[in-house]
Amino acid sequence: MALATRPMSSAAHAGAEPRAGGRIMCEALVHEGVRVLFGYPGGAIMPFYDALYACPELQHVLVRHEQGATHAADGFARATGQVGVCVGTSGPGATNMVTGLANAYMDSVPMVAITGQVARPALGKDSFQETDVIGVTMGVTKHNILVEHAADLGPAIHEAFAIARTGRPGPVLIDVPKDVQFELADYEPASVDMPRSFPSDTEIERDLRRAAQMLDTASSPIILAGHGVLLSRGWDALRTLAERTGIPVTTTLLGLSAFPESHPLSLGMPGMHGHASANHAIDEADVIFAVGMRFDDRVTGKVTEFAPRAQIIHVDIETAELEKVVPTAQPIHGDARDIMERLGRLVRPNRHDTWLDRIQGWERPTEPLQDGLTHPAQLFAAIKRIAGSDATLVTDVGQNQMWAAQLYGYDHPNTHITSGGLGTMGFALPAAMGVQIGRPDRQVWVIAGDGGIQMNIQELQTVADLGLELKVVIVNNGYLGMVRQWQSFFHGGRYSATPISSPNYLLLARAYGHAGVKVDRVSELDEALQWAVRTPGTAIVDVAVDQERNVYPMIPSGQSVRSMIQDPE
Amino acid sequence: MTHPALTVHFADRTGSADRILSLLRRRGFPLGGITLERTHEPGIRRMTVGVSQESAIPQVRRHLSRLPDVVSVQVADGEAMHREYAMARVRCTPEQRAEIVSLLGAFGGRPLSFGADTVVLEATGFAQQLDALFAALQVYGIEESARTSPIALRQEEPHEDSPRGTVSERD
Repeated sequence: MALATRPMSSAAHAGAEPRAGGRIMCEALVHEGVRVLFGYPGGAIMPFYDALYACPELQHVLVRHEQGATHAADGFARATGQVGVCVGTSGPGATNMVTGLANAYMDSVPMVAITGQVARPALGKDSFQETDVIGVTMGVTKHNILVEHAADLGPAIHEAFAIARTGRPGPVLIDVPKDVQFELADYEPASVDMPRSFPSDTEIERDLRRAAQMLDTASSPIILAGHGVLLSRGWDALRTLAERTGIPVTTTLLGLSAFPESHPLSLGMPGMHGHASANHAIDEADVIFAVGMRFDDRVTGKVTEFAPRAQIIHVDIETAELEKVVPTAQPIHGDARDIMERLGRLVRPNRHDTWLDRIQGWERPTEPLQDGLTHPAQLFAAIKRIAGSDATLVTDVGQNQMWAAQLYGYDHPNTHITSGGLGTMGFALPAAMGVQIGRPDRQVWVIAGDGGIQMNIQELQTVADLGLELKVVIVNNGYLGMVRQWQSFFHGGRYSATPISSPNYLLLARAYGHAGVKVDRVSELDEALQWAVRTPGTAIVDVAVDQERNVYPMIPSGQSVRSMIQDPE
Repeated sequence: MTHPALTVHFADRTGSADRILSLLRRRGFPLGGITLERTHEPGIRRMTVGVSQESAIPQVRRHLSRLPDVVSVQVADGEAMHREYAMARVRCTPEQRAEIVSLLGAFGGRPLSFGADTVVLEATGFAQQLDALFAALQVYGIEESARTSPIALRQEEPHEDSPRGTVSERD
C-alpha cells in the first residue's frame, strides 16, 4: 500500500510571520496529529489544496465521490480511535458529504469535515457552487463552524477536533470561504480541552454501590453492551465484569466484537434480527446492566413491552441518552470503561448457572445444511475459518449485514464495523478503505449485497490507486433483499422495485485492475475464499445465495419478542 | 397559565441561535413561546424557551446542554419572574385619550404617541395581564399589535441541581 507523497519541504513548522489561511489549515491539522485525509478538490477549496501540495506530513487520498471520503474517514476513525478527516469543495462537494456526516453522527464517530465555501463577498448571492452548508448540516453534525477570518482558522480547527473526540464522539464540519483560505494571519498551535463535568465522585460512588447491589442480588441479570464499550476501549473491563459476576452479555449491532462471542457468557445480538435467546433473556431478565447503548428501536421493539420485568441500570457518557427511551432504575452518567472498571471492583463474585441453562434452552439448534447454493450460515462460517483471526469485517446494510452480525462470531475487539444508526447502503467499500489505511497489517473484508456494492462502487478505483488489499464478498441474491423480505412479510409479496440486476463483477473487477471469482455452489466456496486471501491486492468474491432467503429470527417493527418470526425450515 | 421555561445562555456566534432552534424543532419538544434576548455580557446571548409540558424539561435541558455554543441552561419555574412586552396601535379619538391613558395605567402600559385618531402604546406584564389589556383595547379597535413571548428571570441564582435529572455540563 503506497500513499502518494510529494517531495516538498515541510509547511508544518511554527513561525512568526503571517501565512495564508490554507497553510494555517494544514499546520493545524498536522498539530492535531492528522496524517491522512480523504477528499476531492474543487474551486472553493483550491487554496487549501495548494497548501497541501507543500505539506508532506499530510497524505491525501483522492476518492471518486465525496461520500466515499466521508465513509473512508468514518472507517479510519472507527478502526484507529482517532478523528477521521475528510475534505470537499463548496456546493455539490459539501452536499455529497451530508450522508456520510449523518452516518457518523448517528454512530458517534469522531470526524472533522472541511468544506470550501464561496468567498465572503459572494456569500448569500446564490453564487456558483454556493450552498448554505452550515444550515444543511446543522441536524447531522455535533457542531459546525463557519470560519469568517483567517485568524480564527487555527482556533476553529482545534476546537472542532476537541468537540469531535470529547464525550460522545461525533462529526464536526468546518466551512471555510475561499478568500479566508487566501487571507494572511498569524497562527500559533494550541490544543483545546473541552470542559466536561461528570457527577462528583461521591455521587458516582453512591450510584455504583446501588448498581453493584442490584447486580449482586439479581437472579436473572444480563449485560446489554453497545458501541460505547468499543469507543471507550472498555472490552477488558466488560469481560472482567461479566466473568466476575457470571452475568451473560448481549451486544448491540454496534457493540458486536466488544465481547468474544465464543465466550460461554455471550448471547450474541439482541433486537429485531437478534438471537432468540438474547431477546428471551431480555424479556425475562430482572436486572439489565445497559452500558454505552441507547435503546434504539431496532433493539427495543415495542418500548412498553421491552424488558417488562427488569430494573435497568443505564450507563452513558451522554446525559441526554439517560431516560430518553426507557425508564431507568439507576442512571449513571460516565465513561463506559471507567464505570465498568469501578463497578468490577465493587460487585461480588457470582455464578448464574440455572439462569444460563434457561437461556441455552431458548437457542434453536442450527439447521442441517445441504449442498447447492451457499447458505448464509455456510458463507460466514467459511469466512471465519479462512480469514485471519484478527480480520475485520466491514459490512454494508440489509440482509448481508444482519447475517454477518448473526453468523460470524466476533472474538476480537473492534473487528466488526458497520453502519448501524443511519443504515447507509454503500458504506462498506469506502469505509473499508479507511479501515485498512488505519490497520495496514490486518485483513479487511467487505461484506455487501448486490444492491449496496453498486452504491459507491466507483471507490474500487481509489482502492486500486492505493494498492489496498480488500477481500470483497458480494452476497448476491438479485434483490434488494431486506426490502424484498418486508414486501414478502408485510406487503403481500408484491416485489415492487426490489429485483435488481448486477454487472458482471468479474469483468468489473478486472476493469478496475482487481481480481474476481464467482461462487455458484457452496462446494466452490472455500476454494474461492482461499484464493481471495492468497491473491495479492483486492479480490472480489461474488457469491450466489438463495434469491428469496429471509433473515430469521425477525421481530416485526414495533412489536415484542412474543411476535418473533422463526425460520420455518 | 405561564409555562415553565428554560433560560439558555449561549455564545453569540454564526448560527448559534439557529442551532438551538433547529434542535428544538428536530426533537419535537412541546414548546411554548421562545424569546431571543441580549445580555449585559458581550458575546453572550440568551433565550427564554417556554416548555408546555413540565415532564419534558429534563430532556430539553439535557439536549440543549449538549450544544457547544450553549454556556448554561437553567430552569425558570414558578419562582421566576415572567414578563412580556407589547406594542399596539389602537383607534383613539382625541376625546378618548384620557380614558385610554387611565386604562393603560391600570394594566402596566403607557402611551408612546398620539396620532389624529390613533395611539401607539406599549405595555409590559405577565401573560394574563397583557391578555386582559388586549381584551379591553379590542373595544376601541386594535389596528396593529406586536407582543413578545415571555422572558424570564429568577430572583435567586439557582443552586446547582446537577445530579441525574439535570445536567451540569458547562453550567
